[in-house]
Amino acid sequence: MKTMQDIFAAIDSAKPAMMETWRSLVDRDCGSGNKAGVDAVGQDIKAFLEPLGFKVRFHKYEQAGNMLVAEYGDMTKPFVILTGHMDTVFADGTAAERPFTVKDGRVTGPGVLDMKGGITVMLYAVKTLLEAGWDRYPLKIILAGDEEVGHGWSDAASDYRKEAKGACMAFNYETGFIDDGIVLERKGCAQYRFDFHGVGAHAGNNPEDGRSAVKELCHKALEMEALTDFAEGTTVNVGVISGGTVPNAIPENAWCRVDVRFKTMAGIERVEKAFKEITDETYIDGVTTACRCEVKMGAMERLASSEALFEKAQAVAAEAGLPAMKAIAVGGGSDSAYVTAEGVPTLCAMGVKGQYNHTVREWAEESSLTERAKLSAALLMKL
Amino acid sequence: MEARDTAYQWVDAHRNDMIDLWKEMVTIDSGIGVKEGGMAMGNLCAGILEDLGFSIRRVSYEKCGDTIIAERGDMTKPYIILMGHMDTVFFRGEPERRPFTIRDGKAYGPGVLDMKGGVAILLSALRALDAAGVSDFPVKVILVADEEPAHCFSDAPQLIEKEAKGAKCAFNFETGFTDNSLVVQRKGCWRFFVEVFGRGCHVGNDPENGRSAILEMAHKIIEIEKLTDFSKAYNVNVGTIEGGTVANAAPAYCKVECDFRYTHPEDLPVLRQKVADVCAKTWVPDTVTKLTDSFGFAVMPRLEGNMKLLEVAQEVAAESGFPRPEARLCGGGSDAAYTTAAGVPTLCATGVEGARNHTVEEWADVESFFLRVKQMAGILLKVKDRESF
Repeated sequence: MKTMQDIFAAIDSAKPAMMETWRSLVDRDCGSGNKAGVDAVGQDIKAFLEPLGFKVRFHKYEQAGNMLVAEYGDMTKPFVILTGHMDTVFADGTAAERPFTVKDGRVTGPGVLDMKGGITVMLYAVKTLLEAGWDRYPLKIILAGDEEVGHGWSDAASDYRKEAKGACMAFNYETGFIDDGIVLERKGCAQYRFDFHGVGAHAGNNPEDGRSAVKELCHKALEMEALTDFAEGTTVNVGVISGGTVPNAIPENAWCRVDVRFKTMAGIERVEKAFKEITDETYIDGVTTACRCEVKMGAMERLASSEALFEKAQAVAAEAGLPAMKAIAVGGGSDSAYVTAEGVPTLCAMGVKGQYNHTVREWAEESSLTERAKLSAALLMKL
Repeated sequence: MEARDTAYQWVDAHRNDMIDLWKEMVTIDSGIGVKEGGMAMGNLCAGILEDLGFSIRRVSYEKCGDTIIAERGDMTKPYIILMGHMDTVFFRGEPERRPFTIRDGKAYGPGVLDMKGGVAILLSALRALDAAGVSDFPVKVILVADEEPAHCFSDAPQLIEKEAKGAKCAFNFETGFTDNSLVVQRKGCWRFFVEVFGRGCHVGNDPENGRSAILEMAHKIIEIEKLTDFSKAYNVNVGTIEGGTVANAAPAYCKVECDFRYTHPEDLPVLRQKVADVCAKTWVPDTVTKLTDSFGFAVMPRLEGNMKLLEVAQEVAAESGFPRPEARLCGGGSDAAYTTAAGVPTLCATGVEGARNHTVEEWADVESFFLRVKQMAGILLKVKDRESF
């Protein structure tokens, strides 16, 4: 086995190849809605990993990009998870409009930061180590195809949890922070649409025949908002509401969109149980309620074991001469939620560093590509 | 009843002429805010009334057609009022898009039912009586041009009430009901908006700073809707609601449009106060609530005389073999509120029968058009010599 310095030198010399892989991952349309585009990315990554000795399989979904699972080594032993997602938030045509561009040390293009850069970091950290004869842990790479839409049209969330069982630690190559923050905790987020259907009637002529959907909604909105518990870290917001057509008709239909943020899975479970009860109960006879979850990202719970892993990682980084990191908690979600849900210590935001995800201003720091590959290689060598 | 037979025969002999008048009216574009169309309707009606020996007064307004007041006979004596509105609820250009059409016994077109058919019936009944040699009774015709937008362009409510003083009875040729009933009473309506101003925030980043306008409004709606009391014949409806922009922001604004219907005029000030009290209360701290009047229309109370007029209509029906009209309490308003406010017994909905007012599906029953002309001619013959009801 080579030394850390040898590995770092190999990564430096692989930089042109890394840039080329990064470019090829960015210059293609693979928004969450473009299943064919996302699945093609999966095939390319499969072709990258198989020569290194990985066994690659896919969880296939009808309406969402497939999830890639690549395994290396004896999976009956505690393994390390390296994870991320292959989809972006951008519409078809964006890759041609705003191709991969490097200028003044900043890289731009759709998904350059979120998270094609992170995938590149992960692939080359693994490639460099395996080619140098590294075999400290079995590895499992999990790449989702529909993270940006919260796995709303697939079973990826539950498949994640199944795949995470038996792991000893995990690294998620999500968007890195320019201040070297490493994420140990993320709030979960879920959004629901409630539809209320009553009976319309003319307010002057036969009001007693009407069953107001708006009235039913109001009673239930009060119940929903009352589920907020700041101490628990759970908030429920009835954010958008609409109902009725004209003032002189009893409103037949109404709807609302509700956002739920939560720090713990227990929090969202409590809210979802209450939502079911709210859906099933009736204030105004003759009004029915339907509830649909439109988006759901689990909470990445802060595990004591994640904190311990971070402390060790910090020591390794110092030893390797890499920038000091800081542990942070953020509001936005990631798939790390499903790994911590299985009790696996996890460090998130291990990808390239940059800013302005999900916008045309998205940019990544070119120099962080090799820096972050070195960080991952060092951690896998020393932890 | 020789005169009545003659009048009925005139109707049977002039079916095409009456339809032509109806069609001419529907073809005139007197939709919301189309002043020149309102004027054209007024000119058409005034011309016909002048030919029948009426003298015409006009009251002009900046934004709508003239109110036409036409009188004939000795107006110092108790007189009959025949009234209606000449405007429709449709936007400019509707008659071109949807011209007057008759298909399978139903007439279609903007205002065909509400209430150009009724205005045509009013004028045709006078013509039929004129043909029967009956024109020697005091009568006042009042036609207004902005009823649909609740007279927001004119002083028609006050004017009608003033012009009604000295009348012995009134007929409003509003939309007729297909069950032949005639309206003796109408509910009043008060429309209002409630707006709540809260404070937005991102629910992920600083949820504790949000003050949800939707939450505040939900509390208020529940209280406002509780004011409904069918046993007291009033009900409130929160008809529309809009609030917030995206799910992940606390909503800073919410608005509802409400409609309060009441049967007894004395209930209105009490209800207004109750709504104001709900709006003055605050559930979510730091939110601000604004209550704004939209518009309304007054109650048409059920005067004893209204029922006497209905009895006359029932007599005419019995004698002529027409379907018997029953009394109807209508939830929607009309200008009959202002004649009854002057204490004048009034029958409303004496126009052509049909359904689906205010929609593109609006239709009128063509046969009822002729029948209602006869019915009104018969009623006028019975009431013209009576002093009071």
